[in-house]
Amino acid sequence: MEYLLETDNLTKKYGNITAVDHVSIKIRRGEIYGLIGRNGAGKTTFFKMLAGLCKPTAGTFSIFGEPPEKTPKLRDRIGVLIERPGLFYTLSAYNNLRIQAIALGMNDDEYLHELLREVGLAEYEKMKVKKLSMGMKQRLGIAMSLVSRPDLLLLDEPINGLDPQGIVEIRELIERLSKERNITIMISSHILEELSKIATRYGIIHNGQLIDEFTHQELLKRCSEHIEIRTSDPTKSCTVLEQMGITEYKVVDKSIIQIFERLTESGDIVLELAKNNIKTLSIAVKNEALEDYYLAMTGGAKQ
Amino acid sequence: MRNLINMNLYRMRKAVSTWVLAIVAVAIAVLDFGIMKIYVDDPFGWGLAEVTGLTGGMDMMKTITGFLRGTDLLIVLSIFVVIFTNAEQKCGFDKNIIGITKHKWKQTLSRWLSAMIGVTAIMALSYGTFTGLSVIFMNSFSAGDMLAYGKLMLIVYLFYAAFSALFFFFTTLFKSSAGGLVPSLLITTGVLSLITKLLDLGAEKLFHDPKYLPSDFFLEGAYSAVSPDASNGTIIRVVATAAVYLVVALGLSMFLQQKRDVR
Repeated sequence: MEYLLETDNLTKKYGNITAVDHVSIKIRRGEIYGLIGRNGAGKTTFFKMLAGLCKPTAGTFSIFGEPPEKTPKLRDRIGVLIERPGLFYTLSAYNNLRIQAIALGMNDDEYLHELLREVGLAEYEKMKVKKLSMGMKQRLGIAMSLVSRPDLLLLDEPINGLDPQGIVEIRELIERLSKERNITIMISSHILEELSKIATRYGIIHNGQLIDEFTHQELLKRCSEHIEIRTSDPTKSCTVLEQMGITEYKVVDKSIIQIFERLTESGDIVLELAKNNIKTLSIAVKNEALEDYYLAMTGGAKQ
Repeated sequence: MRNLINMNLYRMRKAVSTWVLAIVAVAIAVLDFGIMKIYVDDPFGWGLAEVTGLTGGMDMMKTITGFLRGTDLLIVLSIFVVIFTNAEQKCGFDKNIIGITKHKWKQTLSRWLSAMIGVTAIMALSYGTFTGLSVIFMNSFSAGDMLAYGKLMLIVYLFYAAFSALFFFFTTLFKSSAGGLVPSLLITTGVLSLITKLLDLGAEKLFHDPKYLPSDFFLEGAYSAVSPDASNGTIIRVVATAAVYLVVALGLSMFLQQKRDVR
């Protein structure tokens, strides 16, 4: 399996504060990896380390199988948009792209016009950036990150502060880039609902730590109908569930067990727990929303 | 690094502030020439030519000496260097390009070299305008001792480079236009020289006619000692002072960039 990006215990400390804490992630070619976390969870710091904006305190990472410090040219193969796009507001959209292209040693003017067309800004190429809407600036920022024709795109909070229309436009653009250009994308957001529409794999980052990773299918499964049970002894309950042959379950918030199979057998489960002297405090069949799932994950980690 | 210099020059050309400051630099040259012309022609018979020493036939050295004494152009250049240096950081563009070189100090060096190209262009424009006006409008104007003139201009250029490195360092250190402009303007407007004069007085009181004064080791103090009549010893001292400021300010800027994270 070819990994475009691999991080190994990547850590960043600012004084006593650990912004990113031993994060290990592997991203395969063609994936859209969604990094989800609250504001201040460590997403931006993680992206900044990958983009070379700050040095890791500990841990390593490799891009295309190579450590970045050994092959700085690899950076040309990575497009980066960290938080708000870095644009010269008094210059035109085209001139901003041109500046980026010159810095990268590229001289393909037609490609720059093509990029502007691709992000829907062809009509506005001569307009000063300060006159563009927030969504347009964000799209221009993505175009800037595409100047080097990257294989890997790092997009940090690209939908932050956008109106619903702007969010849809960015989402469609990202989907198009992934399909048509076969670009591997790592995208961060604190809105799971939005990421769930485009990402193929997810990682949840909380307090600097990667607390969970799952595929899109797993996400759908986890957010699907399940039995939610609260018992007097969750640890012993898990042993009982496994003795019953139930394997698709998880413990949330240390005391709640979510079971994703044999949904019609809740009575049998209660009976079996009782036989093992475990009291069932509550039991219900639930259908969790994505945001609830995310909150349960990060809330659990907080405790 | 060549790509980065090209990129910096492109954005310099496209920035309105560059052209505005270039026009201001030309205006300063025109204004200073106008004042000098009044001194030389002395239309009101006030004996201004004798007071300012602008008597007899005018040559390159005589005209330019008066121009380089003024700090107006230096103020313009300080504003230019600060605006240019801080632009990438202010708008966050540095995040787009910082990862493309292995060593971040190369980006600092390329930015300073680009700023120096701008400084050279503005300086040439201003001095060129002043010299051009002198050639056209001064009566009995001659080239004079071009070797001495060239030597003087080289020293002046070294000082402009050192001042630019110092302004560049302030902007890099404080990471803001205000942080760069305040100390730069304190130097160029002569406020700092008031303090160094006080230090000189203190040193004279303490050491009774010392060989060197504190102001000799400040950049603006050394710059004020630059003149066509300066002794070789003075020239060596001021050139060494400018060179040290240039190397240290630039070195510190590169060190800061290399060590700092981009936030």
